[in-house]
Amino acid sequence: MAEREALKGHLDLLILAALDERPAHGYALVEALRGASGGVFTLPEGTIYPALHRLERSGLLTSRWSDESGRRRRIYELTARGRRELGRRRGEWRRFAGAVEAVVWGAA
Amino acid sequence: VIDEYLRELYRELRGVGRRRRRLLAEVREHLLEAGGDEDAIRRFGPAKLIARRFRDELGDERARTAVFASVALAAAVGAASLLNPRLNEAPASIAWTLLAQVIFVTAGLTAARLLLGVRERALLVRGSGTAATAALTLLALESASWIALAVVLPVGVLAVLAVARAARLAGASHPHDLGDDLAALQRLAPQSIALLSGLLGRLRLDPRAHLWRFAVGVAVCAGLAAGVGHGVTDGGLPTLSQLPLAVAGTLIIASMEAVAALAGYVLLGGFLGLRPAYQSRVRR
Repeated sequence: MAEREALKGHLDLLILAALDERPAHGYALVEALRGASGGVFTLPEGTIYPALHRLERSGLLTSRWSDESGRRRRIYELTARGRRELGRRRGEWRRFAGAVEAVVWGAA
Repeated sequence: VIDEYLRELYRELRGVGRRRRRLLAEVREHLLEAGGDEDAIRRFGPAKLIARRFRDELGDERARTAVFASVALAAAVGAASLLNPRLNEAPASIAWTLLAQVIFVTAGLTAARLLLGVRERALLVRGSGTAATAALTLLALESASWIALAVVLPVGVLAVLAVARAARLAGASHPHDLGDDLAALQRLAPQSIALLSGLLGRLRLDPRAHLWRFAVGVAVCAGLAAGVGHGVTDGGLPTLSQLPLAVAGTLIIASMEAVAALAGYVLLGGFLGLRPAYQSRVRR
């Protein structure tokens, strides 16, 4: 449950980072998040779609229908603005995580 | 099993508009890829939860658009009013004065709330709707020039559409009062607002403790400012012999303005979240 709450707070960063690897549709994205986190990050899979639509409306993602391999899928990918935003959020995350580590484990 | 789930999701997504069809197509593909069985649906999450997240995200965006559209409309009507030669005729003048005040307060309050981060969506939509309605009424009463109408009407149509679309996703308003706005201000400028709060507290006018006293105080101050303003713009600064008459005139205008401000507060205060609505007070 604690992991689920943490995931909710950082979902945008995780989506942007996963899509930086390669463009993907919703299901592949959920699988990628689950795989990359070693199964730690699980959330109701459907909640990824409202976030994807919001990021698209904010201009950070773009999407198109694809009929490859006989299935009709909506593929999402980062825009140039999305890439810049990812860089900014990665920097923020690094500072935040470093500060938490320093407090939790001490300066030693 | 999937079809039944999609039908439920379709029902829950009312008000979302044209995005609904695309979302359903994506969900259908996702569920099929995940196995298309009960387990796939369980992992996807309850239709109510997914729909609520979607409506929340879309609703915030629409409320923001509604505020921008209504402020643009208010500004356009204000600019068109200045071009109107009939503005000084008595009925038009009274309507202009009252409606302009409603527009100024509601549009200003709503835009300020948006900028301060008061995310009470229902209140943003109510404020936008009131500002847009007042602006359109003013425009209709004034019957401004065709050129002004041609400029303002498209903005008006856009504002009405924006408010109507946002209202469909607005949801219920929680109890809210001026104290919440002050708390938002306090986050923005802690020291100066603390100073103001302290001053209001010493004068026993803090809206969180003495709401009606504060409202009367604001109404009287606004009335006095308007009275002095009218006096100065109409005849310049009075000489010593004109002073008693000028003071009497100012007091008459000030009291009329104060009554108008209080009437607006009584009629619209609960609706706009300037004081707790009647129902929420009863529930407490």
